[in-house]
Amino acid sequence: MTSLLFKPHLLQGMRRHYRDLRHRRRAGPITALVYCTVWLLGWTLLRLERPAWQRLSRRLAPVFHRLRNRRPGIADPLRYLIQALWLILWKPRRPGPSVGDRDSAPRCDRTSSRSSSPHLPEWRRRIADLASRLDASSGTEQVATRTTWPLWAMGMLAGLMMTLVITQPFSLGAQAIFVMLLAAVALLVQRLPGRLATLTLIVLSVTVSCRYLWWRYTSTLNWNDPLDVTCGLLLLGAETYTWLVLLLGYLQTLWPLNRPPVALPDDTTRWPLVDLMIPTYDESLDVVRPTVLAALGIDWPHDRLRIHLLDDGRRPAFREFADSVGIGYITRDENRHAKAGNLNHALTVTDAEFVAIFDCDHVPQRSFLQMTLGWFLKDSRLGLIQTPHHFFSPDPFERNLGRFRRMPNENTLFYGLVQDGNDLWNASFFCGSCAVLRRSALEAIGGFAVDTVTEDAHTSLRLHRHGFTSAYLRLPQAAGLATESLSAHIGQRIRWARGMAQIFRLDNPLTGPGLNLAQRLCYLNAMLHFLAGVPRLIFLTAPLAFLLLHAYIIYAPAVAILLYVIPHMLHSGITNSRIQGRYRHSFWSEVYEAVLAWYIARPTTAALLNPRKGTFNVTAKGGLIGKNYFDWTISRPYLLLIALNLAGVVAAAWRLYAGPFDEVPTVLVSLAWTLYNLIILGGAVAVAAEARQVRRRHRVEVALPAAIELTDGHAYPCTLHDYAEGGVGLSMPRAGLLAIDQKVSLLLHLGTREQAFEARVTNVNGARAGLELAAMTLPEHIDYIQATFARADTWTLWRDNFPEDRPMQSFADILALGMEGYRRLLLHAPRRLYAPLAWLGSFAPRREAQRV
Amino acid sequence: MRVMALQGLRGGTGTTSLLAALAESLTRAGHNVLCIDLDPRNQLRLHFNHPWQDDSGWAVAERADAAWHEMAFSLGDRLTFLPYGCEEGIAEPLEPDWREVAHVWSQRLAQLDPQRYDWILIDIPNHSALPRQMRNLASLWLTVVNADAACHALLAKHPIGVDEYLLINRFSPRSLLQNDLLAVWQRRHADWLVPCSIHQDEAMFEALAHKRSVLGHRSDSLASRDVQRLAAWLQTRGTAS
Amino acid sequence: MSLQDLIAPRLPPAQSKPDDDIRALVDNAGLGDFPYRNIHQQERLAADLERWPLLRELAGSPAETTA
Repeated sequence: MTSLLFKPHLLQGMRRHYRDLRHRRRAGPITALVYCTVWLLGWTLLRLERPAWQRLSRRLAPVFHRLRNRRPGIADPLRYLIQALWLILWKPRRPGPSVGDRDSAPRCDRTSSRSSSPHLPEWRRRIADLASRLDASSGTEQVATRTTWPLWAMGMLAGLMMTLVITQPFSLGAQAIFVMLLAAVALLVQRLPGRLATLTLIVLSVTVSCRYLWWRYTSTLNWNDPLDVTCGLLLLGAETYTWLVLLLGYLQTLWPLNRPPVALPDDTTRWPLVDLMIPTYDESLDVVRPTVLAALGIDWPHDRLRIHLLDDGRRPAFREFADSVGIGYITRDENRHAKAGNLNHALTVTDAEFVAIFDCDHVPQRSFLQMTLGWFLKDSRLGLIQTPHHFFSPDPFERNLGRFRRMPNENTLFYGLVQDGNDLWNASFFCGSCAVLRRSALEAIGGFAVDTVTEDAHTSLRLHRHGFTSAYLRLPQAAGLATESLSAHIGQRIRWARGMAQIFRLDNPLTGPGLNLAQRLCYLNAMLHFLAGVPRLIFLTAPLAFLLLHAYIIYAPAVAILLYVIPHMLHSGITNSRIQGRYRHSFWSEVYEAVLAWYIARPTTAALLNPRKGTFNVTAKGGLIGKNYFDWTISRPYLLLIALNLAGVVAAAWRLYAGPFDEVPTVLVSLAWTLYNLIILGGAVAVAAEARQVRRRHRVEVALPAAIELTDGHAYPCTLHDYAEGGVGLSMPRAGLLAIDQKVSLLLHLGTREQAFEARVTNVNGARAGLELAAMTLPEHIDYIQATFARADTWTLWRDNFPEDRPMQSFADILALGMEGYRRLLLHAPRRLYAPLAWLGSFAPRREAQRV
Repeated sequence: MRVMALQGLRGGTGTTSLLAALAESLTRAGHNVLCIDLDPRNQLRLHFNHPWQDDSGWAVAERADAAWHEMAFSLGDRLTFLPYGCEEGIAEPLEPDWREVAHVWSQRLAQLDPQRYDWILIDIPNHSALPRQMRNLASLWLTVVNADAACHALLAKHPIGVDEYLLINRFSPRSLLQNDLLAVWQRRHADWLVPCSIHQDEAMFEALAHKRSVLGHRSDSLASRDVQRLAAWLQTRGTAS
Repeated sequence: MSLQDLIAPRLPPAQSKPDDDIRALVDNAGLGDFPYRNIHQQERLAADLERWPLLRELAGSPAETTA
């Protein structure tokens, strides 16, 4: 009978475990049987063999020392429970490192070496192996064939109970106990590793947020006052939007797939033919050249790779360049449908089965095709494989805030988590570049979609509708330039937002054929994400409705508001920090959204109303910012919002002073909200202070070993600090080795080879020096690009292992950022405005600097 | 105690300078090193700042019936070297009986206290008529080559011994031929080609003129860095066996 | 040197895997033994051998053709 239920190797492992318990630890037969079952259950559900669990187990080992060495008995769980309670209630200090520094593995090890279990017993290791095998074998296909009615029944039951929990009205006291219990559970579970804990947190968060929204709809609207109800409904609409996005986000990032690449056949003659297309319109040749040269260096049989430059600008220089490097040059007479039209035209004059697409400023790594094409050969219905857009230059947030590579950047969340989560639902979508598509799939849907300004997402939506699958490979296989200035960034996002809104209207993913529910929801969330403008503006002004207009937008006592709102925010904060922490730190989304809110609010609304209107604007890249300046034009809406919120603060002060006493709590809550808004807006303003950017060609920061050979025969090792298309920066072992205008050879590693490049020293600063490369022949130039931009390990060299998200720390960061925003505002403010403030400031007491 | 022999595939590959540098690098890493010069041209001592006039060495001591180990000189705490020595009045050194040398030295090495030295480096002259027994002296054999056509041709006929590794000295990536040869060798001799080559560097030549190793002369030069990498690689080999 | 020594080498080969950017990629992404093909290097090697008559001549040996 048992062999029907379990796989043979599983049974064997259980038998071994049982024997171990019986003979080595001398447990009774029933005890051993019970524990075997419990252990098995534990291993299957929690993946206890993972390092995180092992660390937890090691840390707890010393406190249960006595129990662990005892002969196992049937009442042991009770003993453990009592011991745990005793520890919690009486034990003053927890042994081992605090929970805060989870990654201090060495310290944990030291603790454990003192304790009773210095190494894992053999049987546990075996079970661990077993469990991992079990985990691997329970693939998706097997799940699908199993009977699912018990799952459905359980789901129904859970759903019913959840409905009860969400809709049951509580007294304030009951609600307080309820939310405290849930918060306690969440705070405990949050410390446990593994996906089960994450899922638990999600369930808690969903419960609390749904309950909050239910409460808001049922008991916080004052239908008797038109102003109250108008403002209240606006806020409620925004909150509903956030709630929906929260839920969809959970669904989307439930289980990131993290798909590995698939190996290609051994015989390279069976590798497919690929057309690599580089569309360009008005970018300069300097931007396009590295991309083309890197494409020429891709590790793919050269007779199976055709590179085409798709020039919509019809520039003779580009044709000449394409001819000189021996790639195809495709152009057309008109520019209809911009990039999508350009690509569609190119499809008519090429014929390879696979089409790789690179924006002209995305430099492909030499491994790109070998990492991606394997999936197409494995899955004949695969229409698209997308890889992340990785940037070697800072985006405006990173640059203007001076945070390049100090924390995950703005698009890390999307490419690190969201797309990977979409992949589970077969819903990862095309992002316009760094992707490969199957030509037959494209032909089946009539080429790239031209109806909207975001042809990429729309194209993949159509692919999905036609039953093709998509894949996402979370390995950066190309890198490019980020948008230069905040205005360019905003321009780009406006286009995306408008495009997504257009798709929402013209080809709504919720309706129409071909999609499954999860795909619809993933696409819906992608589009909803860009509709964040109006709700964000509502949040940024909502407390003013009460402070300035005296409208009760949430018609409930302040205590009730706190009892419902705080758990809602706490749970979603904890859960999102756990899910997204590695990809975006807490509170940063608010800043990103605040920056965009005003600008995308109008175009998305317009596009929703009239999707066919609106022009196409190309994202400007490669620009130059001559000096530090403050973008007053772009920050106008933020300044308006700041002024409004400041007025709110003044009004709050007045209401506290002159208002009725029973309104004080409400005023305080509104005031806290206003202050929070001011901090976020300060962050948005800080971004608008554009930092200086002097070099036309971007220097990519690295730390690569290299060498310099002088004309006199001496050679020195050096470290490459940055590289650009025409030059490098490096540091020599000591100062005085290089002189300006000296001719040198730069030796760079290129795979296992080493290549010399002639160069001239242009500047020397101590041990640091800048080199300008001499003119290179085409093969040399390709080598140089391969040794720098197109290295297969560019992203690994950067080691983007950012500090873990700590919500409180992150909040402190945001606070500092907000203050910085106001400081910059004053710094750049016109003299007339600044002078009175400075005069006021001169009255402020300050500590005199000590003189020595 | 690990015994390593260095021998050029042909004459003039820079083996002796490399040995001196390697010895210094291992010394700096905290090892006790003994260098033995088996080359009758008696050049190794010059890298260790030994006076040109001093002719003493183990071969001379042998003929004078003196103890060979009394001819060793120490340089600092950890480095000891044993010159070959040259006999007075003889311009051309005599060709020794290599069979005899191999025999004698294998006995002598066996007698050494294994705790005294971590590394013993032997400078083997490039000589076509060396007997196979010489190979048994060392547990690690580095054949030093330059990336040139002559070495390429010689390598095609070279019988590869057990524990023998191929090391490229004076590699210059600026040369197309050297680069091509390296690529070919990386493919063809992958199993015994040492992954860290020594770059062409003027400092290596200057070092001998200064009568010291390249590490002592210019420790920040590329050749010094390469030698240090080689030493690190050798140490991992040491623990691997 | 005895025959036994020739058959059973005591030391590991000089390099098990080439140390380059592909290795870094494969290691960092945890791809294990992903069979990466260094196509560019292979194509260049052929060109290298063509360039030098001596190399071409010596390349006739079996070691080169199997590689």
